[in-house]
Amino acid sequence: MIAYAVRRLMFSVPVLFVLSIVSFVATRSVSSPEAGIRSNPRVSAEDIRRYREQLGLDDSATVQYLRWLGNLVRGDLGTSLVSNRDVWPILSRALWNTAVLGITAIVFSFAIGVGIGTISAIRRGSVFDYGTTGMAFFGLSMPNFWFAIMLQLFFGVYLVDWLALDGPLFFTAGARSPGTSGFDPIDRVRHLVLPALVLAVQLIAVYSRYMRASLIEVMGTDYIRTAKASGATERHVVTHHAMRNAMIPVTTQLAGDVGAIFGGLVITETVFQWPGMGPLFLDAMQNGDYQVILPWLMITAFAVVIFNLVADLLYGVLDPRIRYG
Amino acid sequence: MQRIHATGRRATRATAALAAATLLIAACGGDDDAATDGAADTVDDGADGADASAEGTTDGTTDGSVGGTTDEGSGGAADDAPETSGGDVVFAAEQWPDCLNPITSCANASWLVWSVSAHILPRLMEVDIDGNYQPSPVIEEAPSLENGLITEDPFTVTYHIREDAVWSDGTPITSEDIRFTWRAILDTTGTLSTSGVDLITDVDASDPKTAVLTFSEPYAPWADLFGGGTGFFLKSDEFSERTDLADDMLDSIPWSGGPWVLQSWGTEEAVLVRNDAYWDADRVPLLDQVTFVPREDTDTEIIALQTGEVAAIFPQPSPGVNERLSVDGIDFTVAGGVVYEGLWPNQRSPQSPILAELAVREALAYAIDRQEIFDTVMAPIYPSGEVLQCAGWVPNVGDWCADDFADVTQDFDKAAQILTDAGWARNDDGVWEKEGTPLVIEWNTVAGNKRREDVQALVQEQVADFGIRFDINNLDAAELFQNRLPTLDFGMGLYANVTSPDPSVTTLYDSSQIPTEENGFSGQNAMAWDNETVTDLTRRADRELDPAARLELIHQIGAEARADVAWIPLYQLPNLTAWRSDQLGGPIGDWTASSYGGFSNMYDWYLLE
Repeated sequence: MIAYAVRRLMFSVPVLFVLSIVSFVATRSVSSPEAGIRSNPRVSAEDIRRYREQLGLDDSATVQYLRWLGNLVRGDLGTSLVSNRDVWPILSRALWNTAVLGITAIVFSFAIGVGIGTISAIRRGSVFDYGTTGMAFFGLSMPNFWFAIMLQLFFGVYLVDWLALDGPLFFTAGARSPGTSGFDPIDRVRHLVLPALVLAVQLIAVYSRYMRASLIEVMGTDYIRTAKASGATERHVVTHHAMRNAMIPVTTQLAGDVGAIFGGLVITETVFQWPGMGPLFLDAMQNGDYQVILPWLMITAFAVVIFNLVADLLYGVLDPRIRYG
Repeated sequence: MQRIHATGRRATRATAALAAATLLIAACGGDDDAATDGAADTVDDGADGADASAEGTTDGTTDGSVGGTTDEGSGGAADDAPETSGGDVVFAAEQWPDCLNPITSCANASWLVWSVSAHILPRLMEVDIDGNYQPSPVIEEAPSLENGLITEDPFTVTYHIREDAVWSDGTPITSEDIRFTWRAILDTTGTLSTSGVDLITDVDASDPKTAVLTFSEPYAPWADLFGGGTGFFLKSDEFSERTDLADDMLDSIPWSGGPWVLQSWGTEEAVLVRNDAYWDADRVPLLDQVTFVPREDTDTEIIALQTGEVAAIFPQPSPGVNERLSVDGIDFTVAGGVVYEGLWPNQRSPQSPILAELAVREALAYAIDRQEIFDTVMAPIYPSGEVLQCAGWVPNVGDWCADDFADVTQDFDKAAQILTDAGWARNDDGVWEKEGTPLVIEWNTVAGNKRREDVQALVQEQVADFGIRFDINNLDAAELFQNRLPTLDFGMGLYANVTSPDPSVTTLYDSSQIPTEENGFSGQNAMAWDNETVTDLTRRADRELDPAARLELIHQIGAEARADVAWIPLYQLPNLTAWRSDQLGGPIGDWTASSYGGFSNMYDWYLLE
């Protein structure tokens, strides 16, 4: 398994390399760092020319790319073209914030979604099954941004009025209360609940549907019939025999989701002003700041590669028939 | 059964542990986003601010129909409440700067000025509420030819710095600070603009309280250097004689020469506290602390105001915002800003070369109904506004904006006469045509911008029967502004531009600012308006020191823009300040139209009892 994992990681290097080239070309062709200053009435043609020259923007694309790649190989992510700040602290902060939001949402969604999917599968055709199926489709079809605004209004405005509260139960934006410092878990959770809920509603729908379909399929297989025929209770059959196999597609989805969240949860993070990877990417793209965009892409792509690998390895754990060659 | 129970308990324990771990992770999240300058401790509510006197409040002219105010200078419902000092408030910023350095491209972000630099960086001259230059509290009087503080040959400007003007640490502000800032702007890698500063040949700082600036040639916008709309100066002894400040002030400016001190700044908030060393009693803040937080989504920003999570916002007005703000506990003011929008024909357009012909531009100007455009897209959010009648300035900043385009109202007969005289005739399809070329104009704006797309739809409808056609080719903002405009690869643009307190329009109109291969496609004259007379006028206006004579030159430039229909002004984009009238008192909203932003006089704001 270790050899397989190492081989997979080595294969990802050329993938990341090609991705960096494509990203660089795409970024440089649609945006430029000096674009933002062009409409400033204080900025003359001479200012823009000098600015480009000092930032090396007049060098050929190849030279600029190789300069960036050389720094990356030496472990230097460089500095932002716009802010001149080191990229790594900016990226790592955003990455951490996104991970906190994304993993929180995924953990709860997974637990709830798998639970709902399991009960739906066992009680197929019941009111609970129909009810959760309907809710799942509602959750899947609901636009994130709309649901986010509804939650903000409900918890931030209406509930405060109806219950005559001093302030919102859950905060509608930000990752912590302004002007505060230090560790305040209650404050952090009050900021986390609404964005996590927006993400969770869709994820619960996805996981419950996957789990339901997968468990129904597994419950129809011969070995489950054999287990039932041996006299085991249904609960025992489900928990000890069926769920492990039924979890395989859900686990794949889970690993993919964990990898994808490092690419930012653009809409949710933007609406809730969550300082994560999504807004960082949008900001960098708007500024044409390829010094931020390229490391961002490398990290998110690497996360996808890693978590796909994790998913593949989990197959083997969940299904001993799978062997890695 | 027992075994199943055990499994169930394990599952319960695992779930509980998972939940606890997640909460712990969540609770830890974002810690690093905290201020970069140490802990953002709150200031004691009882901090001494009692000797600070506010300028008082202004009478509000409440527009009862919308529950807010729509004229400049309105104060709001809180004006009659008693003033208090102390307290912390939170305001929202619609955009967030990437860094703080006021010299580099960081300074291109308006919100850097509005949320930080306007409150902490001192300036020599400043702009008042009407867009006129006034001496700041740093200097004793405004330099002028009359008082001898300006000389013409050589051109020098002398500033006498007030004896009591000090930095936040109590050290005196000196002429050396001006001299240092001059060198820093010239020497810093990635300086945003050296315009005017590069004409200074020397700053005499031999007298600590007198700075004498010597220029290589007369420079009329001198008041914009180290002050004015966006100028400033730095505390020289903070930089150890280094003058390339590219790596400085990225996320911290611990000193201040303004009413506030920046206690901390990060990606999540900027914390300003009262500068207790500020010498101008009229501007010592009443509040102890102001925290700005980013709320970059307009809906979120308004909801944050509604919930009371923030006490004031300064958003870009959008359709429906007035209605949303018309609720109990919130007041708002809408006023003209410094951004204007219009139709920008490219006279060197490869797509629509007919735009080089004056008759086409002029006929287009007479064919469209600018009043209807304003009434449709702008009046709902800015009912007290008017159609913009000048090209390059706005009515609320100085006296520069004349009624050059007032005669340009929809007149199909006049438009037809202009085209006919120029050899155009209508073809079988009813479209104007000349030598086989139909009057079809490629029109580009930002795809998805509803306001601009509404304008396009309206104009197409207005001129359809008259026989002008448009080929709409809207592009994403990056493509339009970063690729097409700098290479003159567009037809007619619909976009906004920014004016500054100084009336200079050299970067906009000078022939040398037309993007070309020679200047690296760097110029801002994207209309490719190549008019020798105007180029001469802009340069003369930049050198004219007599305000009256300069005003005359500026008006001549405006008249030329009208005569050539260099572009067609449509409207001024408004600014909006909204605040919790049940929390905040003071002259809030008075500076809504200012280039310093709606928060510029927040030193006079106070918490209601």
